[in-house]
Amino acid sequence: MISAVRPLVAPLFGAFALLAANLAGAASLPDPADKPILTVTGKISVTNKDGAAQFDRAMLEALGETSFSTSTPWHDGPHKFEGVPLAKLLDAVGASGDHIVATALNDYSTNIPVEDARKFGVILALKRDGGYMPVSDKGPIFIVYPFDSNPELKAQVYYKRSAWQVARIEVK
Amino acid sequence: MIVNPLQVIKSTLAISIVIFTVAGISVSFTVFDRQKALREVARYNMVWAVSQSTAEFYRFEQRVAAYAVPDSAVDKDEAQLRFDILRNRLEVLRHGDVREFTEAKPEQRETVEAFGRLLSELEPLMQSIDRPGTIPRILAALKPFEGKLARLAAGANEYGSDLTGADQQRLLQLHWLFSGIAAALVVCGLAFIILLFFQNRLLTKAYEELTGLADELRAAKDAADAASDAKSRFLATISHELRTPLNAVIGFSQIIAEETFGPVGQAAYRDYAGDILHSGQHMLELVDDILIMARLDAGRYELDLVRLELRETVDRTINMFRGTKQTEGRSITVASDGAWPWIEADERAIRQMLLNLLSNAAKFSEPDTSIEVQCRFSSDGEVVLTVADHGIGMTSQEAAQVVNAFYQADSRIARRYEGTGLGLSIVSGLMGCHGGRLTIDSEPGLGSRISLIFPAGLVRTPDLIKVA
Repeated sequence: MISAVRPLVAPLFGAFALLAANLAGAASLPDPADKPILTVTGKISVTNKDGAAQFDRAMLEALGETSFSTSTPWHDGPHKFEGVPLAKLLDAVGASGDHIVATALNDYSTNIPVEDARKFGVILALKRDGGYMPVSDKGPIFIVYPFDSNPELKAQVYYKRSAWQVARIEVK
Repeated sequence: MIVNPLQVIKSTLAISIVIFTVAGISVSFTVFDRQKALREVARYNMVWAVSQSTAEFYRFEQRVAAYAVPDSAVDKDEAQLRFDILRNRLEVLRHGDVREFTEAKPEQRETVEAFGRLLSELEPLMQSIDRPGTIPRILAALKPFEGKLARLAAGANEYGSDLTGADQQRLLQLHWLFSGIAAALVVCGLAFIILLFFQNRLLTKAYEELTGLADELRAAKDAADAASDAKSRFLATISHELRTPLNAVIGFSQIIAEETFGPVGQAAYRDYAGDILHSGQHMLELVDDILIMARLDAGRYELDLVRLELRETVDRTINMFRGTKQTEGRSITVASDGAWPWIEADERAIRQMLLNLLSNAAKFSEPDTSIEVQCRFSSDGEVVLTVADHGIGMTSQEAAQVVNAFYQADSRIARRYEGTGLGLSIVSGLMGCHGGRLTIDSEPGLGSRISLIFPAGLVRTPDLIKVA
């Protein structure tokens, strides 16, 4: 019973924490309660640790989630991806750069123009088909473009921007 | 079958337009259709995805080895993370676009399957990695697999190159297809221009022909109008000319019939009878002239061609002329020098022409002046027979008009000097029948030289027997 309630409580707690932080002062974030999964650095105004903004999963989910179904070059058939819109994350950290560099756990890194976030509705997917994605399946964070809803996105340039196992984002 | 060039051009234009339209539509459809194909060319770079597995494999191996070193910075979580990353790579190799490659050849499929078996085998070992003896077992399991992923990556590179080559080939084919269609469009366009050029030329030609025809018709109508006018004037004049002698005939006959000046036998009656005879003869001349003119005008005058000695005919005609009232006291000279050839001609016609010319010369000059008849050869071998006088002459405009049929009937000269004025028209017509022509060389107050020009072809050798 407790394990069933926990995923529900954690985001709520995170949301409250974030709200409190915003009320207290725009330039600070609550410290992650859990193990951080994403560190944002660079041209940002909101931080919680040494000029960086660290997020655990609950904090990310508290930013507000969205979902869409799409196929990708790495899956068989379309899947439902659920996560935080990149635009919301950038707003949350007060990002002022024009592009970001996303770096993965395996040190793969890719450049993404900030305008992609709003133009295409790029998400930092946490879940695939309702379940959290583990590292062994492109987790914990997988940058997904809605490939199926815009034929323009089915191109090498967007494939290479879709990094998985994302751990760090630097705003430039 | 007569082929109308304009019709051919129209049909060709219509066909060209159809071809042009079809080509244009097919280009549009092809471009639209190939857009999808071109998009598909931008496939996922699976070579990169496969090659990454090697790096991730070695990094995992290195982390496991490092974990075994005492006081290492590598903890259990880090080793597990590298293992998870490797498992993720296995998922990538098994799904999506990369699967196309891994399933393309048995050895590649086998490598991926072996990779999967390896990771399954390692999973329980990773859980107990901190137990002594586990790490050597993991490293021992990894060892034989070291080269396999590198070979898989090399295979992916080869496969990728083949795909890129095929894509390039498709792009080239598209290029040639588009070039072909573009060339066809250019040819159609050129054909359009050429056909329009020819059509334009034909239309211009047709327009010019029509304009020419209209000009000819207008000229013909003017000529017909002029002829009609001239004939009307001629009829009016000729009626007057016939009425005058007829009145004399009737008047004098009535005097004689009614014995106005006493019984018949008076000397005066003889004079009247002479006047009646003169008037009758004058009328006969008029009627003869009109008949000849009518025949010439209708093109029905037939020549009676004989070989004659021109000098002899001329002398005989002058003698006849000397017998008329007109020549009283006149000096008519025939130039003895120059050439007097034999020619083939209608003797009666020559006589009539010469009489007309002599009569005109006498009529339009003073009695004390001489009339000369000459004959010579032109530089072209034509025979030129000239009658010259020293009379009133004509202006060049009058000279140009006198040869026109019926002209004189209305001229002031004719009124003043009497006569139908048909003389020169008849002469001109008769010369035309001989294939020759009439020329007038005249100046007002100095006199006229009117020449009959017979073509060189009418000149004949002398009749030797007759000469002898």
